[in-house]
Amino acid sequence: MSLFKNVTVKPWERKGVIGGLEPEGAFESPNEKVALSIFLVVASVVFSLFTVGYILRMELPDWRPLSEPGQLWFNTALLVVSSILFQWARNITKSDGEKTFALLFLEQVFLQYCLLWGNLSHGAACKARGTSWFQIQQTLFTIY
Amino acid sequence: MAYVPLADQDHEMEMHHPHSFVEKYVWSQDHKVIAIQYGGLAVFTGIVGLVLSLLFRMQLGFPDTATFIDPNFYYQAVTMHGMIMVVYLLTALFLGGFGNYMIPLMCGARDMVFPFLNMLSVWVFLLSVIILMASFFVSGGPTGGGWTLYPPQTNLAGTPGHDMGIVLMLISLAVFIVAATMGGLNYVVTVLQYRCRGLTMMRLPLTVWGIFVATLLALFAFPALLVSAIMMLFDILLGTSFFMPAIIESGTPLDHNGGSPILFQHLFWFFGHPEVYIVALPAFGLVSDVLSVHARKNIFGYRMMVWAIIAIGGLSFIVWAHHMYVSGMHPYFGFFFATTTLIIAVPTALKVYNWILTLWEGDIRLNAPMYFAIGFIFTFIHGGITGLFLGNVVIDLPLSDSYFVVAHFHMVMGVSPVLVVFAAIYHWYPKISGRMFNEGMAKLHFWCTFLGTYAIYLPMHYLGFLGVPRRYYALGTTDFIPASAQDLNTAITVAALFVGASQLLFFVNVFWSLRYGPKADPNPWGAASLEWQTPDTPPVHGNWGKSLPTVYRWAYDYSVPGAAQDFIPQNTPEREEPTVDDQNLGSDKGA
Repeated sequence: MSLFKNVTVKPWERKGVIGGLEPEGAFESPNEKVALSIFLVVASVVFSLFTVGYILRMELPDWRPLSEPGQLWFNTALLVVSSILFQWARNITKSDGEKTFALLFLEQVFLQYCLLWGNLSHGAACKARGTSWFQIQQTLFTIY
Repeated sequence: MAYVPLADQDHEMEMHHPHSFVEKYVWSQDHKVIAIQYGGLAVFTGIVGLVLSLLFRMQLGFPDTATFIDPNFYYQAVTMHGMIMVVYLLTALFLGGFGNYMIPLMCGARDMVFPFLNMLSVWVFLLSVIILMASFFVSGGPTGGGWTLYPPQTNLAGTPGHDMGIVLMLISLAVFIVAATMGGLNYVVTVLQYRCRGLTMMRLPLTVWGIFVATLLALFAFPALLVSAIMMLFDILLGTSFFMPAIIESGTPLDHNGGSPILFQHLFWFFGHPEVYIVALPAFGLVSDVLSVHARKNIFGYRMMVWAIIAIGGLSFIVWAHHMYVSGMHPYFGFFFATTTLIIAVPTALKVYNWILTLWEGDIRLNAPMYFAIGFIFTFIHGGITGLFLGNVVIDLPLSDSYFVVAHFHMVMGVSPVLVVFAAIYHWYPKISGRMFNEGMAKLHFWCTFLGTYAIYLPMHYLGFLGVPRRYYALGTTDFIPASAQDLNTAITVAALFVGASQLLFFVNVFWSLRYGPKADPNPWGAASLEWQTPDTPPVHGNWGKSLPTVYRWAYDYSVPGAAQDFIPQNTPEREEPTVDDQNLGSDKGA
């Protein structure tokens, strides 16, 4: 039954059991999946608001653009590739390809390590140059 | 449609059945114990907030009498009172307390869908309270920047608690949001997926609808507070300038530059206004059920009530900037938010009409829960109407930051929800404790609270019209504030002390009745909703014995013509309903 039909029925008119012999949820999916879907929406709201806040801040006249965008784009690419590998490894677990899974998993761990190293080295470089935490934080925000 | 796996499976119950005292009362996964833990902790925190309010009222009513209340302490007390009452008392009590207790019982479920996550939620809430309370003991004390925590003022040296106090407040809020999210996922998924057989969404009591929509609001509004808290922490701890503008402090330019304090205000109120309804919607639901049961009438306009809850929830996300009319926003912006604010008054007013029409020609039983519920209608109408004043830009500008605003929001989201809390606790006390409370003491508690709060907040409206500003430690002497305003302040403080002290009646009643109250009937009010139909009172772990209930009707079958009783429980099959004729027939046969 659609949501609209759900909220337009007159509950005082109909008596008796509505539905089948078993209790019914609103969704076919397992409860964990429903909860995860809602959580992902909540997490998306968090990151959307971060993005909106960041963009609004960028529009102010004293905004200082990033000094090393190339490094950050590289780090972002690492993150994307490692996420794809991680998802691929997860899908492999459903089949018998244990060796492929192990290989993909190790690859994505390696890429995550590279990403961490890239972030830290970039942060350290900024600090060594006397760049304030203000800029370092901008860096991290751009990645995530 | 999905099959709900927990349903009648005994082995599922065994999986998290408590085996020791610690499992039963400390690391409990039972939603009822968690509800009491949540509620108890929220009330404890609320008592701290109440005491703080009485202390700063002492300064306003009897200036400089209590020497330890210096300006710093005053601002800290005002700030902590506000944040504690809004977030740590009301939000936690309605969602964590009532949500946990009511949802599984009213849905005919054995427990929440994720009991472990539920347990984790209450312990993370405790952690947030500990962090908050720790700010009283750190160098500089808690933050005194006002409960809205506006930068840059909150972070500058002139404001008490600008160093550790504000940091702990922001961390505590972030941790609270984690707890609220864990709990919120549980409440939403339980309502969607865990309803018993025959219980459609439109057969749910309005209490569940109110808590369900309020939880959705919390899930989507708290991220704004989380984001603003994290960004402000970066400003304070890492030297970023998201919210901190270029500013000179005591003659020294700070490292910040170009941050936008207005951006913080937008983020804060994008959370802050839905927060009003996070508190109000559960209260609307609870009071609807209390009114219906004690008026022995079905709730008037059930479908409209559900639609109004949904509409209010949706609209609450597009009214936030009416808190910011004086921030210098574009006039067209103000026009838009004034319009949406007036629109949201429509479904809200509809609910008020429906409550009154529920009472109309009802077989009203004037017991203590009903006293509080009817009292709520008065205070909510009062606070709602002054809200219409403040929703209009031209009226808000002169009244902004005056005591009129304080009076308005205390009536609408302080006194009103608290009256509902008392109505609900008295109403469900027999089910929760298995004992009856002392009716006389509860009614005395009502009159002291109801009349006392009017004695506090009615004069505050007048002070606001005079132009008395809120948050001032001392009024000083001005041309526009007459000396008699101080007399009014003194009277308000006396009333506040009286109301504060009269809450002891509630606590004495609750604890005394736990031990000495007469044993309660399983359904003393003759209520139709499922929570009153449990085989045990108070309900035991698993709630429903061997098999879950089946629902055959909505939750408001009161005074049904032809029925033998003036209520028909939700789990009574239609063919088994005893009618007046059946009873007469039975007595004839007996004769």
